[in-house]
Amino acid sequence: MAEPEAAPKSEAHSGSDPQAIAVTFSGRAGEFTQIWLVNLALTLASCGLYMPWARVRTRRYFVGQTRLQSSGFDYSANPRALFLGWLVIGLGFSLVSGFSDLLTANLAAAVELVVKKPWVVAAVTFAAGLLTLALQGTIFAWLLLQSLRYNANQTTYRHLRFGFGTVSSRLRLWREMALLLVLGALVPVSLGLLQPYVAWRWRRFLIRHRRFGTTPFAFTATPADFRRLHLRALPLLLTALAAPFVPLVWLIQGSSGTELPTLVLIVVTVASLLLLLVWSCWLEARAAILTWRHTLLGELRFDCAWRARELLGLRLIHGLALLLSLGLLWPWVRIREARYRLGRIRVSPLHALDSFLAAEEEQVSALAEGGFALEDAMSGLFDISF
Amino acid sequence: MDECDGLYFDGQSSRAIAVVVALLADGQLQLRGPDLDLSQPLAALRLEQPPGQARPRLHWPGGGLVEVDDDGRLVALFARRPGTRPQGLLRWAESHWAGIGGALLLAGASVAGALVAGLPLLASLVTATIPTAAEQRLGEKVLASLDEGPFAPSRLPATRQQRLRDLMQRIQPRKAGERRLRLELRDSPTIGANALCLPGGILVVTDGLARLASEDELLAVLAHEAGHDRHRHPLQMLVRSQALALVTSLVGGKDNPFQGIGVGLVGNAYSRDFEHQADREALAVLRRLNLPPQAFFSILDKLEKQNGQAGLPSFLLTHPSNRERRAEVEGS
Repeated sequence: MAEPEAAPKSEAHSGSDPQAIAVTFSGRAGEFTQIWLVNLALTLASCGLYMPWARVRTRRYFVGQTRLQSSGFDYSANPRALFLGWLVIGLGFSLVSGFSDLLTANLAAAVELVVKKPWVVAAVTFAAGLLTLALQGTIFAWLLLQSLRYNANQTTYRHLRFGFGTVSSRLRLWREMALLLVLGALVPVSLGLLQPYVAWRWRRFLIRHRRFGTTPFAFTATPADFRRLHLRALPLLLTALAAPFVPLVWLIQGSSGTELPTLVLIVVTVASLLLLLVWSCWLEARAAILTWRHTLLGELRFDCAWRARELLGLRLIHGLALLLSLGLLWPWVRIREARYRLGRIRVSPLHALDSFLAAEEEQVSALAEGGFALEDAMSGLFDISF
Repeated sequence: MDECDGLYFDGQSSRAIAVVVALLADGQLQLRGPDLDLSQPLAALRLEQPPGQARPRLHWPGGGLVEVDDDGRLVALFARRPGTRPQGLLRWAESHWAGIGGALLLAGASVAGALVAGLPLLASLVTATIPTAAEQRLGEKVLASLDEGPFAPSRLPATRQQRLRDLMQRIQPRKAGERRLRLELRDSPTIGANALCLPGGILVVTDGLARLASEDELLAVLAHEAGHDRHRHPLQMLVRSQALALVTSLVGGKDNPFQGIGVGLVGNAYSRDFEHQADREALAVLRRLNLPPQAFFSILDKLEKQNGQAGLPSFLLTHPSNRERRAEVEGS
């Protein structure tokens, strides 16, 4: 047998491996609707206190319905620990925000008593604002990191735990995360030029610190790969952004004084929005394919067959369904999304699935699990399967 | 003999071992596979059922796990043991429409109970702990911000202003321990003819209202606002709406558009309740002063004509329609 995995992986491997097996997702909309309704009812009846239990049960359903080669994933978080974590975080956050509110409200007046110069007052207030922002950013980064660690640790496949980082790498991970948050904040300032690099860095961060048992994942894509991807999508983005200016030009060149028909405006706006949607779907699909093909786990290779056209169809149908049903079709939408996204991921070679070893038991506190809404938003690609 | 297939994992490696799970005659559970023959009494094992139709997971002592292809018999075997009940109830509710209906009914009943009784009770307990000095400061703050916004100083002649203050004296509470009210006069074209009760016993009457209403009618309006103050309605409303917003944003998310609408509609219902309560107070005061109750209804009609809100469904309004208000006070 040829050994494609023996060669160093500078090039992404092509998708059609006959030995590859697909991840399956067997969740059913009816079943999840029932779970969702019971969760909703109990959350309402308990004034929201049931929320951690509801979230764990939902996540456990999705993870448990995900299977690879006849055995399932499992998620075993402890809702009671999460509940306590939420309480602590809620209290902590309100203390911090209360304190910073108090500080910013009274600082200017206090400084004015001592120094009469207005520019000193402005500078001190600005510095204090920056300081509280840094403090909040620090807490945010810590929560996000802790949530990644906890959720990875509670996810198992074949009775082996996943993990994110190790105890000794905690500080390094936190620094990397803080840098990513700062870079993310700089993206709008750079007019989006930093976007490909930040997208690459986030993915590398989320993948290479993850491990299955003792085996770490690896990520071989380069920033140049992501730059090329974003560059290829650029014409579409520019067209979408330029579309609203077309009627403007038409107005200037046409006979002055005639009013622009409302119909033209509506058509142009809708076209521009649709183009933006196409752009984001294309980018999402291609970035996912690029990412999975450059992800390694020991001998294991991954492949992903998302297609922009299909993602676009899903988005349109799901958006419409949610709108028309006033959100009641939300469980149906989530099941269909998961089935599409997970079902098009393939893993090879088969025999390598048997070769992983368990890591030392590690206790990860559930304290910061409250951040998991953030994690879901940021690592949508990985939150279910890994 | 009961048997089913399963996959065994030892927790040390990711190797999957195909096994047969069998119930032996002596009540022990046996795992049979290549190079594997384990047996344990049922009491030493733990069976776990993930939500939905996923395979049950059998935890083996020493860190092993079996994913069982069960046809229901193994689960039934374990279901008779204590400790599996709560999960069982949840599973039952999730897989039967009666269970879901029951859960939704429970949710509806508890939400209704919380809105009708729980939240108002909680709010009155909270308001009772707020010192009057703090309430006073809050009222001053609200008045100051209104003064920066829609309010301008009153342009009524000094004699008319004095007359209004004299009227106010007739409304002041008599009992010891009840706080005295403060009348503020303001001009406001945007608000028009209206009267407001702010926290801390500050009553505001606009020039528009002073011009529109007769003296009897003014007394009725002042008595109505004094009723709001006596029950500390402004503070109650503040606490109720804050608590409601907090809970709903916990449940439904802060950026959920339905949350704002829901809080608004419930707030309107509370506000209409407060109006009815203040109306009853106003009529009691009019009776005490030997004034005709008609004065109250006539100013209501004048105001309704001016504001032109008649015809909107009541759930959209903070104040009930005049017909409802009349019916309510006459009924009691």
